[in-house]
Amino acid sequence: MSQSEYLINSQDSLDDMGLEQGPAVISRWVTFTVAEERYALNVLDVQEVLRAAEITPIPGAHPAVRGIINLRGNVVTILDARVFFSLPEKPFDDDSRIMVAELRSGEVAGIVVDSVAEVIALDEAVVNAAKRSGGDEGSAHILGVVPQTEKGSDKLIILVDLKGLSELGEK
Amino acid sequence: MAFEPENELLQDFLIEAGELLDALDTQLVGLEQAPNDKELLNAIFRAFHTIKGGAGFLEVTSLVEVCHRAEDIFNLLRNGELTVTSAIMDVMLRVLDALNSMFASLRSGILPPSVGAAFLREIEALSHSQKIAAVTTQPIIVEKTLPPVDGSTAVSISPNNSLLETEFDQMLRALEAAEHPQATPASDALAGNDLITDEEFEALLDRLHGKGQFQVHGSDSDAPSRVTHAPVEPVHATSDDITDEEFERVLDSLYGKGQGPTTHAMPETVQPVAPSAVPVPLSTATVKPVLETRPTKPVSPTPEAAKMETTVRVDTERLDFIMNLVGELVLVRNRMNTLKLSFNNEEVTQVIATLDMVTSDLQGAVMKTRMQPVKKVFGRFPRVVRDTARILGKEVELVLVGEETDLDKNLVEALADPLVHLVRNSVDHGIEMPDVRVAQGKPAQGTVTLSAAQEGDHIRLSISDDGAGMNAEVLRRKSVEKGLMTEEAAGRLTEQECFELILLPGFSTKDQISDISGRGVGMDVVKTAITRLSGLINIDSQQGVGTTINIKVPLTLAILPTLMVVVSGRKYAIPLGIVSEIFEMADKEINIVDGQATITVRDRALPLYRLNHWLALSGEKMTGRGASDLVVMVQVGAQLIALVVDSVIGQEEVVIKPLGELLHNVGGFAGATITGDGHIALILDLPGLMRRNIQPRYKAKLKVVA
Repeated sequence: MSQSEYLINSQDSLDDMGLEQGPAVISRWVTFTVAEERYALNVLDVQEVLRAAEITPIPGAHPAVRGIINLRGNVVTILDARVFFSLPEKPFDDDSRIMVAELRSGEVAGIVVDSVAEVIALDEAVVNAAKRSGGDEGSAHILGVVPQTEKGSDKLIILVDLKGLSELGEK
Repeated sequence: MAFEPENELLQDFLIEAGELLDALDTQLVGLEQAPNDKELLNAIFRAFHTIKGGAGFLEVTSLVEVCHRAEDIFNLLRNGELTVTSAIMDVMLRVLDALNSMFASLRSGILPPSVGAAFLREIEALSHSQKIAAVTTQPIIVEKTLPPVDGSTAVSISPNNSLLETEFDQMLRALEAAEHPQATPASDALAGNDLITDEEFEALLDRLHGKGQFQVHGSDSDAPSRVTHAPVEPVHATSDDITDEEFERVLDSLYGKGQGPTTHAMPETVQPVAPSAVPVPLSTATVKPVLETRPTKPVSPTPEAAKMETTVRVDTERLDFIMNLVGELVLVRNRMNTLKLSFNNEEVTQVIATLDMVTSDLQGAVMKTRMQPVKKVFGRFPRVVRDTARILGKEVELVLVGEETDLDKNLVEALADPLVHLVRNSVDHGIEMPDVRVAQGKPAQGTVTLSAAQEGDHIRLSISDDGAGMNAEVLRRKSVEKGLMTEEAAGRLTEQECFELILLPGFSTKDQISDISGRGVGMDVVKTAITRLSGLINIDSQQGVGTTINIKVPLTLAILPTLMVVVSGRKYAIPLGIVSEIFEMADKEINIVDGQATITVRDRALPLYRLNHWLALSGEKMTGRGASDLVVMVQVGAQLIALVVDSVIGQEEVVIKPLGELLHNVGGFAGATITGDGHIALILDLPGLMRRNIQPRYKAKLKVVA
């Protein structure tokens, strides 16, 4: 998958992927993997996806903070998805990506994931149903779980919401 | 026209009226000191009037009703019917606070709610507060001198200086109604009602002026005729059918009888003097104020208009954007300077040198556009000092020095709160009660001096008072009592270091917590704020003589000269302002004193810290002493400390990029910057780093002691 396909803000690239516009309200989600699990973020929340970048570590910061990067002259904080989902850390490799998203506070932050897969379309009704089922206190960043529709696999996709991450700064 | 938060006129109003409000703060306090200043009274009256006019146009009725009443009071004041008392001033300052909060809500696009009928009545009541005195002194005269009043007019006018309050109110209301019909509820709904025709207005003026004044002079007929020219200004056409000057003149001619004889007299003396002055022929009495206002008023707009053409209001966001771009350019220049060496080409070197020069000039020029006089911050202090002194029952004079000093806009804003706190502290802790002062042979009135001056690329602000000063011994004892320090550590502090103790969080010398101070939070906050601005704060005090707090901040926040160092293979920037010396560690002796490594520099023992310990990542191995280690000596507060670094790269001007909110709980970093080679370097905030790394030691020790 080329870098250009990761650029989500362009509507054209979405249509090129041959996704049908059904009568139902469709929302688009970017799927990514962390430790073999599939997760998805709403495309509207994702600004861009970066390949490897030089991450400058911050001594003394929260363990989930990998460091900061220079994103075209702006300093962006990078978090590690693995720490969030309480998974063992893994060094940055060729598949690793940084998903840049805007948090609720308006701050832009990046999150390191094992790989970014594709953009999928989900029926809003399915998403809402998933949201209702997953209102657990312990999973503040998880919206809900939807079944993986396309490939006939029985795996689930975990829908995540990164907007609440700004609370990390309060701790 | 309904209230629209997005309205451009509203934005203009907020800016312009906001400036008036800012000025009012100072003017009101100034008025209290000089209650007879006619100019000032007029200025305040006009300010309220202008704000009211704008608010009326925008249909912010809650603003209108407050301004209207305040305006009434000032009208009485400037006519000498009321005298300036602190009771009036207190209410007026509260009015100002109310206006400020209304403006704040307007800025966020919310129509402010009314201040409440009780407060409005309180303002109104002021006009009656001194009425009894006025009425009792001259009830007979009022009766005697009442001239025949045109019975057919709705508003009856007595050309007597001591108009009955009711008459006066009626007149004022009639005038207000004429000028701003939207201020009255009846016409709120229709914008079309805002306009009254010239004929109507003229008729109204005629009625107001009454018979007695007609034959006197030409200025009255002049006024209405000018009205017809007023709507030339398209923006104000609907709201200000008459301009302020005209309104003034109308008022002047109305009150002319009273003002004529009193223009040269002090307002307080007006009332006893007035009776004899009343029979003075109308002509001289009424002409005077008109003549007085004339030469100044028409002249002033001309220079203003000329000035308008040379200045442009620019959104500060745009300035910030330009500043950021220049910051980027500086980084590119730094990079070019790094690359220059690898080119080894004469021409390229020359081009880069030119770029270097132009960038520096541009940087300077853009920086200048962001400069604001420190007056903007200082302006609020007369009020702060007055309020604090009043609450405490102290007498304090505030002296402002160097108000014209220019300072980066962001700094001006960022300094405001810390300075308010320091000034309040000076009044509260520094200045003694008047009787105590007198007993000590000092004048009863204390003096707080606030000064600003530029020193090279820094601004020095100082707050000094001639109060009680601080006792180093007491501070030392308190720090031990509060568990902030061990007794031995406290005993070792120099006097200067003792004063700095007040900057520690949780430190307060006050045993009782008051509204004003004593929570032990303030100075820590001040310290943090100043440090964030990469400024230094130091305290000097002499018991019985006073205290001086000096703050040194860089001229601008955007670009910071730093010393680039390498620690554990990573680059860090230390603000150059605090670096006092760099030397090799190898030839210096290091001793361990009380568990703390110290290095002796010119017979002075300094605490030595290894930065690689402070800046270690979790799980990282800390290296020991290396042969090439360098020591950077930095000044943190009043303390000199020695820091061990792996190597020193050199001096670099960096653009501070703030760290995100996610990292704001990480102490020790003032931000990050992108270095000449495109990498990121963290900018060290040494006071923060020290707090993070040294403080626990004290606590650990305390546990052992306890």
